[in-house]
Amino acid sequence: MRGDLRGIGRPAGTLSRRMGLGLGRHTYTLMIVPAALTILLIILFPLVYTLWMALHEYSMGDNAAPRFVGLANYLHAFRDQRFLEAIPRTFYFTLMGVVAPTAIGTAAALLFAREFPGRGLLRTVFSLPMMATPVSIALIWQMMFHPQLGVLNYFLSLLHVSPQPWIFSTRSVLPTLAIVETWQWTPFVMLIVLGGLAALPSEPYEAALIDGASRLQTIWYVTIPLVWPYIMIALLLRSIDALKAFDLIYVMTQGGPGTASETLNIFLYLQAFAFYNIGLSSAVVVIYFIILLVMSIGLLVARQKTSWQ
Amino acid sequence: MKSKTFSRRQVLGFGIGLAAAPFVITRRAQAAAPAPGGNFDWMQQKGKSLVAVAPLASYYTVLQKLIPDFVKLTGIQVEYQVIPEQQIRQKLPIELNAKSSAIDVYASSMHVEKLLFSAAGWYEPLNKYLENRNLTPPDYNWKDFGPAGTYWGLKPDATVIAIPMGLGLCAYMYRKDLYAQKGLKPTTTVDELVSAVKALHSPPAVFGYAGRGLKNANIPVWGCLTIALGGNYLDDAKTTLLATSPEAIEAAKIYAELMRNYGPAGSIGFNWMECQGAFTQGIVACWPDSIQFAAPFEDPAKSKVKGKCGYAPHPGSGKRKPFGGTSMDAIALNPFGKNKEAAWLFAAWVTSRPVQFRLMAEGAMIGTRTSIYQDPEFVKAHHMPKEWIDAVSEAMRNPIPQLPEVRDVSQYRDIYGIALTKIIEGSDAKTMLEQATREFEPIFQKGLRA
Repeated sequence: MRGDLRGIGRPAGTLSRRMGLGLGRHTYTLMIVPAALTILLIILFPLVYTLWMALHEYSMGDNAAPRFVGLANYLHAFRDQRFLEAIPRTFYFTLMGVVAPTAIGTAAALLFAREFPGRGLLRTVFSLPMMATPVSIALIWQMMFHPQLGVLNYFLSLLHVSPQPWIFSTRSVLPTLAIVETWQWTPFVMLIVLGGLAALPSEPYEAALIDGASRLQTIWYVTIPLVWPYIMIALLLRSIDALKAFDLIYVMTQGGPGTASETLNIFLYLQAFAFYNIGLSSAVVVIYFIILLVMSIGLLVARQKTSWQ
Repeated sequence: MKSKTFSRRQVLGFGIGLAAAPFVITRRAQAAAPAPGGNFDWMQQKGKSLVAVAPLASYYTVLQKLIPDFVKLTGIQVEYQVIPEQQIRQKLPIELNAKSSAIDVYASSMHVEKLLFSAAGWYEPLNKYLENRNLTPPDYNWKDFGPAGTYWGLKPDATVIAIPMGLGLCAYMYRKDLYAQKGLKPTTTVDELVSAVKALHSPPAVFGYAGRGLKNANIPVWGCLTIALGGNYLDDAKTTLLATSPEAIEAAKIYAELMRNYGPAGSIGFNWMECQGAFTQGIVACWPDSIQFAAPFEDPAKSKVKGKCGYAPHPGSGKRKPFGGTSMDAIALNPFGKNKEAAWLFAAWVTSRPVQFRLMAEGAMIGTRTSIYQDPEFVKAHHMPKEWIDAVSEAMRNPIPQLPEVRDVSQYRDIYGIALTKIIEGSDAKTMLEQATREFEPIFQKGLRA
């Protein structure tokens, strides 16, 4: 047995020699090259190419080679009123698309963490929106939002509430889109928090019981602080997702009415694939990437600070 | 709109003599028909394989069912891809810009892509195929495609770049039962349209008007009103924007008033689907838009207005007779393709009279082969009433492009579409259109230079 373990911990080359494979240290280095190259091609090349394109003026169909323009595309973007308006709009939508699913998802997790008849079935039903494809969801909600023929205004009429314009008004379009986003992604938050709740220790609850804490006090002072790291994970993932939201918005409003729901993603899509301004859209991608990176780092730092001590 | 007029304008732009131009172009366009005789054989490219791509539309879905007939007829294998419109509009420029041969035949949205793709050299010139009696069936008859279709398939120098398929035809759809109740005469002018809308407006049961308000989608609605009042998007030489002309400003005011005061709530965010739904459910009286959207009106399973709809060309004015605002998707060949002759056979088959007949009758396509509209069998085979077919025929007799013929048409639609949205919300029409023109003018000039 002892003799069998002798190779462990020694340099790989020694082991390979002992096994008669004839593989040296360089051979092993070479063997990771394909994987490393693949990763470089998939991740690094598009990034570098986008950075390069962002420094050029290039439009598909111009029949001209990309022309180096330095930082002109970035300057153009920051002088473009639509781009500047799209930034706060994106954050407004992101805020709504994160806070509401997180709050409702956490509440749903607290509910579904308890034992009651039909819990499994209800939890499955609650999770369904997350599994549907965004385009089908968008089309169905679009029909439901129709101001005259949609089922939502019909329900409101039963409650004697006046019909709402939903996505068909510049004022209500973003909150309405956030409702759909919330509907779809609340189960995602619920599942993460539910996982966290299942892993909680029982001692703090026993202590709270002995101290005579009410149910609400237990939730507020024990459960929420304990499950907070999981909520932060949900917040992080949800923020990145909401910031990147595209399909729902594009299918339902195409950024309209006017530019009322034109987020950064829609703006850059139009620049790239409707107007073929590849240089400008690359610059917007870079700016967008930086925003996403800064936000993710901020949330990751916040997440680290919420770990149990 | 006739090719002769169009050609002369374009030839002027290219600095060729005015007198010689119509003659030269007419001769070239006529030459597109194959000479009689020849040795045409459908099986001449047997064993080849093709990739054809088309947008998701009812008639391209019908075409999919007919592909086995082509394979049997020619021995050419076809990989036929139907792709949603937004995706195909991304895919084509990327493939063609890369000079890829992955696609052999494609359906091009000429009203969006014609100038861009032409300038980029992304259309294979088709005259040499059409004129080759060994490659084009003797009964093909290019002249059968009316001017509404050939206009979109021809370059200013009469080079054929694409073969007409489905026509978008902006016309007028209305509730003839409500018209009868109010004793209204058929609408032929914009003034009559406005009067009818006001007379029939009785919310919430019936709204007088429906129109697209969503940016981009709203351009043809405003554009057709501008054309109706005697204006247009561009001047005759197509080198000056006319979006701030009195006609364009007046059209924007009329459009905004109809949308704001006589359209269903939320019209500002409507695309054609919402308008179609509202009309089908019987809550709209007047809807000037593409007449192909009328298909569900006559479907008893979907419609509350079956048999109650009237169809007519788009209203005109004292300055313009009623017309059809046209857009077009057409079959084009990839100039970088490896199987061009086989691809041409596919294009010739798709656009042949028998296949066009089926696509029109079964796929609700508005084709432009004029002989089909005169065929009693077509009226029998089509599910729409004869009144609809007559309105299509009539509108096609005075065809005018429903979108501006500028290279960057998507940006035009975007910039002016936003301006129109603001006008509906109450901003001043003249100010908004001037502002949009200032924004678009540099893009337009760049397009002209290209």
